[in-house]
Amino acid sequence: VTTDQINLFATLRPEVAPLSDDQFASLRDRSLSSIVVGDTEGPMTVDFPTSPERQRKATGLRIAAAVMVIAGVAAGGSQLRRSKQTDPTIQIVPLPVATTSASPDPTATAAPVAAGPAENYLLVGTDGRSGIDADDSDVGGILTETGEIGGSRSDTILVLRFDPKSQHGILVSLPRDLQVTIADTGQPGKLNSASDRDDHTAGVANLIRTVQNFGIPINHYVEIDMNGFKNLVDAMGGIRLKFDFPVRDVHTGLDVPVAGCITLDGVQARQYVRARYLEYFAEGSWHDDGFADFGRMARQQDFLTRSMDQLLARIATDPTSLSRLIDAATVTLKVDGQTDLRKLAATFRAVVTGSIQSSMLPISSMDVDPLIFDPNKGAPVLAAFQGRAFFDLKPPIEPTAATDVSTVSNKPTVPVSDC
Amino acid sequence: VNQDQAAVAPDNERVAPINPARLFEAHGQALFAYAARRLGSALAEDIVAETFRSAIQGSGSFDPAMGNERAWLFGIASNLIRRHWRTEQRRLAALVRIHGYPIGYPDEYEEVDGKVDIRHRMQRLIDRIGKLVPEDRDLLVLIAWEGFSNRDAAAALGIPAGTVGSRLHRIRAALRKGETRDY
Repeated sequence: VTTDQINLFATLRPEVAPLSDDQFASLRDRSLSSIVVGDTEGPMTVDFPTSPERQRKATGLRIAAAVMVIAGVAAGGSQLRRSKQTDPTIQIVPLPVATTSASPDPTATAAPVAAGPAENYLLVGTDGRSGIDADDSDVGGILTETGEIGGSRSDTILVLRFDPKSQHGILVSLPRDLQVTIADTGQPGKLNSASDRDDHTAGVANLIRTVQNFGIPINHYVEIDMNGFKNLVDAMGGIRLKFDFPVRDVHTGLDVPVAGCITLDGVQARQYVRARYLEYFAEGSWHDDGFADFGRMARQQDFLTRSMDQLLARIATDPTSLSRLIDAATVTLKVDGQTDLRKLAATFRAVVTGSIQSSMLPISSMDVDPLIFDPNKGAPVLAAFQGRAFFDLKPPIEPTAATDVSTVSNKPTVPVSDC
Repeated sequence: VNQDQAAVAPDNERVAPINPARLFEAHGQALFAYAARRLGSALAEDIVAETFRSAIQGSGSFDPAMGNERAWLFGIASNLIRRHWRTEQRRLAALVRIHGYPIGYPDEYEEVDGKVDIRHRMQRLIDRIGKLVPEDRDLLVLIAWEGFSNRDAAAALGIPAGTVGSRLHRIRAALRKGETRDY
């Protein structure tokens, strides 16, 4: 038996009580006192969304990112597991579109090949209707924040910049209504119109060029059909959540008639994360949880964390579960022809397990349509994605008095305990 | 498609977007806890204040390629803590005296060691920690108490990530000296 001296030392670790709010404020003032006033909001600080409207979108972004990452892990795993692209459930479609080759990092010439320079991935999520069954009670797709049903193709456009050396990623969502100069027409237009071409490949190429012209180099293109969400949850055997009360949402069809630890299947999970009118049953009647969208945001965040935990735990303890997951999930992954799928899988895995910071692109005003990029606040974002600056983001959701998730979490409709 | 190449500027234009208030909000508590574990809460406040002053005034020195923000701040704090070597050593000895039997000490050690005086063993461990070079002591604390990964610890201490493993091995050996019951 080995008594590891470092573990032995670890047992000596003293607990330190956190500073009280007053102590914290006092130490903060002392720590920052030497800094010139006006400097505390430095020119390179990125402004973050605080309005509920933006917060909803930011939450949607997180969900979108998570689903993409799960799908990416599944697809990458499939690629590693099978040497041929024979898996009918993972369609890998190489697209003959030109992307930028990564700019060589002059300081890293001797670095191992596996590391390489930081690269930008253009991730496009579609919720085309291929994965939704007609009898799903929640037809419409998880990512349709405004509640519009079917019909429209909601594109989610993200850029992930991943540095293999530091294993850190930054993620920015590009609003689909963002006003940009469309590459092939040279005219101003909404970003998502760039990909709307009769020929899908031409649309992808045009979207890539449009984003590059906007100021973000793109090294790789990855397109994922998001309807994998329901199937992925099902393939995981559902997600276990503890409900303190029976809950329902008559709008999405969610119906959990008994309290306790419940395993939600894919459809129920989708109903749950989309629920905006959640009611709980107590003392003989149904009560509105009263938090509407804020409650949904809290549940989405909670759900996201738990599902990622459960997914990773399952893969870690039972590697074969990944194959089952892949077999059941319907994921269509389209990539540019230069993307190395092994590297892609490794990147997605690192993003799941490592740190990633995400953000919305700074917009000058949310009230205009199309959305106008804010060049001042946005400059550091572009600089970061061009490899010219370190990009340090606040969490995409900044709690305010009205939306403090910890307050919402006290509501009975947000699970607070584990099973 | 090459038009974006012009947008990629050389490394020397790298800027560090540091918002001090946010930096403190994000890392103040953790840094305080780290310093307080090593030096006690009174001195810890000095360390935290000094860490942020150095960090913000010298924020140009922040190189994201060397690791994350947390590692960067803990590295600065570790440097400052080194000045208080004797205080830390006294504190470690006091920890052993106060607890006598370390908190969370796993049962299996007791079974293996039987009636061996745990307090005596811990005292010897503390003595050997006192003989470690400051860099090794910092590494030990970051790994064992603060839960740093090898990569983050390397970034904090400005050493190559590849050498953390061998350093830890050397630290174990140094701390084990005379512990005949091990291995």
